Formats: sequence, C-alpha cells, structure tokens
Amino acid sequence: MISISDFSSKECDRIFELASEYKQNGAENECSGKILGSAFFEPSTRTMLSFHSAMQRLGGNVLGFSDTSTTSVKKGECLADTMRTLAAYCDLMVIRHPNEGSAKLSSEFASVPVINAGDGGREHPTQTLLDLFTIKENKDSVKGLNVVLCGDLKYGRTVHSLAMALAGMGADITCVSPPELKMPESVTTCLERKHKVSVVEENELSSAVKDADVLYMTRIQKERFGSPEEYAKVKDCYVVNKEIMSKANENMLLMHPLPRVNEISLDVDSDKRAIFFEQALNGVFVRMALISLILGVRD
Amino acid sequence: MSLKVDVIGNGTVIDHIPGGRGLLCLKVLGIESIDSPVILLSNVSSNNKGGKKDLIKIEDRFLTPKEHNKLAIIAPGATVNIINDTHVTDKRLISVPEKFVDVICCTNPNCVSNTESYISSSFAVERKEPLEVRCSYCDRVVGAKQLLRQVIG
Ligand SMILES: [Zn+2]
Repeated sequence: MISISDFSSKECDRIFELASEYKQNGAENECSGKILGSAFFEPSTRTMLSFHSAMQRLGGNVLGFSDTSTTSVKKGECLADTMRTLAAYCDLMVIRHPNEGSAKLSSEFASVPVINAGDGGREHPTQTLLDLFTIKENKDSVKGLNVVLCGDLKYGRTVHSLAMALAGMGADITCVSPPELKMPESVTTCLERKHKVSVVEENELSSAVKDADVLYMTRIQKERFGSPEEYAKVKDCYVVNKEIMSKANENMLLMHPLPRVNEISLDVDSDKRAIFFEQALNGVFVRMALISLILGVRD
Repeated sequence: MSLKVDVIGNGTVIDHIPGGRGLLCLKVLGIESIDSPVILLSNVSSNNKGGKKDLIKIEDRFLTPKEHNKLAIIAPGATVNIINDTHVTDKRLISVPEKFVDVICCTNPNCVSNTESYISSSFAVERKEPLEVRCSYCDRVVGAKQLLRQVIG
C-alpha cells in the first residue's frame, strides 16, 4: 500500500465500512499471532503510535525502530537490506522515510506487504484515508461539498493527495494560501483536467469560510523557509479563531492533520465543528481496517 | 540531389535521424572515443516525407542497448542498420519505449533512486511527443529539455 491511487473507490469504501465497524464495536483479537514491523527512519510519533495502537487493538504485536541511530542503518546498511531483514521478522511492515519513493523501493525488496506512512514530500496515504473517512462520517455525500484547503498548499504532503481524492469524488476545492505557498500548478491543472473540478483561489480566509462545508487547515512549516524573516512573514497569516468560526455555517467541519501550531487557536477547541481530535482518533480505526484487510483476516 | 557515400564493410548505419540531430547522436555515442571512421550527413532531403534527415555511418562499432535507449530520446523514428560484411544483417527502429530503465537519472535529489545507489532508475513514458517521463519511484515528471540535457551530458 504505497499510494492512495492504489485503491479503487470500492476498496476505499470497504476500508471505511470496516473502520466504522471497529469504531462502533471494537475488535476481537483478529490479528493475534501476527506481527507488524514498524520502520520509522524519521520521527513521527503521532503516526507511529497510531499504527501501533491499531495493531495492538487487533490483538497483534509490534516490533521495529523509530530512531535509526540505534540500528544498522547508522553503520551504512542500505534501505533494501534493512527492509528485507525486517520483513523476515514480521507479517506486515509500515515505513516512514525521508526520501521519496522509499516505500515503493521497500515493497520491491520485502517479502511481506508494505504500508507507506509517508515517504518524503510525496505521499502519506493513510492520512488521506482517515481524512476522507472523517468527512464521509460527518457528511452524507462528498459530491458537491465545498472544501476549503488553507495554509501551506505547496509543500503540504497530505493536502495534494487529499485534494485529488476529494475531486475524484466530486467535491469543489477552494485554495487559500499565501502567494509563496500556493498549490502547485501541476496539481491544480490535474484537478481541473482529470476531475473537471474548478479550483478557486482566495486570499482571505474570512470570506472563503462563509460557504465552506469543510475547512481543512494545514501547518506552515518553518523548515520550508530559507530565512527566519521569510517564515515570520507568513507564519500567522491564517488563524482560525472564534471570529472566523462565527462567519462559518453551523455544519462546517474544521479539520487539521495535527500537530497544529498557531493556525487554530485553542478557543475554538470546544466548538462542535472542530473535529480534528476525532479525526486523529479515526486514524486508528482506519489503520486497523487497513491492517486486517491486508493481512487477510477480513475481506 | 542525391548523396553517395561509400558502403561500409562492418558497422552501424543510423538513418532517418530527425534533421539536425545527427551531431547530438554522435555526442551520445561519444564520438571522441570512436577510433574508426565516422560519416555524418546532415540535412539530407528525406524521400518519404519531404523533410530533412541526418544519417550516420560508423565503421566497426555497434550500439549497446543503453545507447539505443538514449537515442530514443533524441532521435525517435531513426533506423539502425547493422552491417556485417557489407550486408545489412539487422535493422531496428528506434522508438520510444514504454519504460526507460537505467538510462537517465531522476531530477529529484531526494528521490530514493538517487539516494540508494544500487537501484536502477526507472521512468514510465507519459507522453511521446514532446517526450515526458515519470519517475516510477517519486513520480517526478521529467520533460524533453531536461532529458536531452542529460543524454548529451
Ligand atoms: Zn524519482
């Protein structure tokens, strides 16, 4: 499971159905005796713990590493060897790696299925799945929804695949970002050509939010900027606070992949439209569904 | 006007190179390292389409599969004739393959095909004219200009 495009919409629906079942009824020890190999070549505590929780809730075990300084990677072992070796110890692997294409490379060398938990700036398909699940859970249909994507739309890894997936399901996309962090043209033209979806660009969040069904905020990352001054210029340009929320309609969903910094102020957490913690929780159920489908304990 | 060039005994004749691209083809083949005689005809009128073509004859030299693939980037549509003992013993069309494996490098420095040196780069052809390929690892799209720059070094 390397890319979100590996799934047909039917397969996505099956994942969501099962995730929903796990959310309501919990799980039996369906994966007891199975081992998830967890290879985190760069820190991502949240994603890692979500995968570990998912496997343990299914009754399975987890082994792996989250710090390459204690592994043979530090001794210069190549990625293919590391993954081939780890594959021998487990039934399924999850990999997070800073280089684009690393998950695909791993799947070529490993003897067990590989789940991509983020490869460089490219994809993070389980994040996309849990975002879609959260929207579907709260809205009757994705078709015709106006989804406002706001923040770093240039480097935000999850936001490109989310936009593609949403457009594929018939949602309209509105992009709100500072000029230096605009959605790349390659993505917007693809959305318009392939999915016949119109992408509207807005500068003002306060006006874009008025007819939004979903507001998806992303974090503007410091690492993306050459100088602290450049970062300072844009870092707080979009902040969702009570005032912004008062302009939004009462059924709008406020989402965020977390961790947030300043882009959503703490005073909106109690707003019932702020569902980003629920969204993070859904990550566990979606990953449980994915694991049990890949391991074949469910079909 | 017709140009006559001596037939060669053993070697390779690359015909129907798009007009003006012959010199680039020789660059790809590393002309400075070729010891045997080389003939390049440029901008010859091509009898089938009325356009211009280039033609190369190299004595005692045959193309490797990798060179063949590199030529597909600059001279798609050209034909390669293998000459043995003055006879054409094999004739192959240079066409753009479905995939380029180990021919070019990904332009994304963060791509795993660059950081893990033991794997072969692999590109799927997205579009043939103008040529556009997509990295099988990181999805980076590489266009005709960059491809050209890479193969002629
Ligand atoms: Zn690449």
